[in-house]
Amino acid sequence: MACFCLLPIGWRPRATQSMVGGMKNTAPILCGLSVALFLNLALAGCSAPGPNDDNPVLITVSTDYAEGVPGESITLVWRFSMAENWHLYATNRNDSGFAPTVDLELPAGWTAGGLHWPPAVRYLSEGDILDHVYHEELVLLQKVGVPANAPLGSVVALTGQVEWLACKTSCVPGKDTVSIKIPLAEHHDGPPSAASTAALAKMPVPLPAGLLNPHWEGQKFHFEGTDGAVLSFMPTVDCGKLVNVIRDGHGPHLALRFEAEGETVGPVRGLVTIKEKGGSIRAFVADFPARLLSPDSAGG
Amino acid sequence: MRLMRLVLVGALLAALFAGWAGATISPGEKAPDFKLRDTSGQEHHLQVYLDAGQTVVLEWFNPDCPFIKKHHLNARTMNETFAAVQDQDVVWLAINSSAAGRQGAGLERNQKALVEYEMNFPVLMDEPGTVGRAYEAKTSPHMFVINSEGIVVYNGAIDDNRSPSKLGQMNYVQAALKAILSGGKVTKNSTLPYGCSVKYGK
Repeated sequence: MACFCLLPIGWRPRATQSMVGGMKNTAPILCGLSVALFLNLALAGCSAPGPNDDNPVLITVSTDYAEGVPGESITLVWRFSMAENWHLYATNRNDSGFAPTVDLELPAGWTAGGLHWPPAVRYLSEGDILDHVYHEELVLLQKVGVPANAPLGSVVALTGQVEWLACKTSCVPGKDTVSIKIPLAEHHDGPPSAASTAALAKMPVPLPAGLLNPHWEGQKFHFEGTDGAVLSFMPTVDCGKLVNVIRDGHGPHLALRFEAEGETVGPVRGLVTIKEKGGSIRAFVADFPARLLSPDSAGG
Repeated sequence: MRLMRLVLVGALLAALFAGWAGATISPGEKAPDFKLRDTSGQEHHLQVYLDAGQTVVLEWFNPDCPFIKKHHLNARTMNETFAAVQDQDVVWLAINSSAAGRQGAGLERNQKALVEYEMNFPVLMDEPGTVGRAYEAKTSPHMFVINSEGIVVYNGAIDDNRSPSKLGQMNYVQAALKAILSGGKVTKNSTLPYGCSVKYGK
């Protein structure tokens, strides 16, 4: 990744080199201080530029723990930072777009789990086009298994080929190769990173029994919200055929109409989010099997 | 009289509900007829092609969409798929439903794309989005194959790789055309289209 620094006006690389070289003979202490001050200022400003309209997505990867432990797993934290008003797509059933992919290159014996996705938001465009997207930032978690025989003290590099489609008023595809070096140790030296803990807290969890009173009524599947909360249903690609998720998938109570497919309706698969009065959002995984239609249950 | 009024109101409500429910053009349904002009001003009328016994392929198009570039520039999926059946009474029409001012809109841009992508079929301009909405076209590209009886026999993606850069292994439109041109049945008649959203106006 390129690094652009804010440098003092009039700064020229050649002049700096000769200046440092010349001063080294005459005033080493002053030079050392100057160089230290200069490097300090330069490094402070020498971070990657933020995402912008020309380069709308920046990707970094980190880990939950500073070190990997043989025989255990470590979590990769893929962070996608987006420029203002741009969005990335979720893996939910979308009418358009393309969700980011990570193709991880692993050393022998290492294993990688799937990507874990936080809840997205519904994004409705002209023409009844419904997508599920992220704005500003997307953080994905991915567990990686460290082999039990991985040598302690070694450092292992993992590289991911990342591909995405970012959209604002138009769409721009992007690709990047992102690497991370993981030192291997006998045990973790500190707690997991704040970034991984925060990302984990946002991940959807299975819908607890009884919450939202999920149930079938004929060809409709109901989620009943509590007072003041707003529910959203975001189907996954393997969800049954919904009649009109744009209308049915958002509101204080949801009555999702399903089209019969043969003698069944459903399954109901996706995420349900609950936006409380105060604005906090909880996300749950909904997974209910297809229902066999009896003659008297159709059309309800 | 009162009964008639009730029937009329009922029929109107039913029609509104059907539209509001968002019924899609499913395989087996009649393709909505349309007349549109291409970038050179020539009119294309679906029914005229059908009356001539032709099979019609519709491709929703936006020259600046990365997925269109994937199939028109990085690869020549559309040109090559059409070229293989061009002499078998098949018509391929690209339709651009981008509203004025939105990505890929405008006569000039599409005239240029026709040359840039060396397209061997016309681009029809649907700036108000009327035809796009009638077909419920969601993405560019979004593909429809209509047999010579005017029935939609395929609705969905061009292939099985939704990436903006990688090509699929299975070309669904090619398979559908091969089936109907040999008198067979289209086995995979519906898939989820993929691409950029069609840039409709309000």
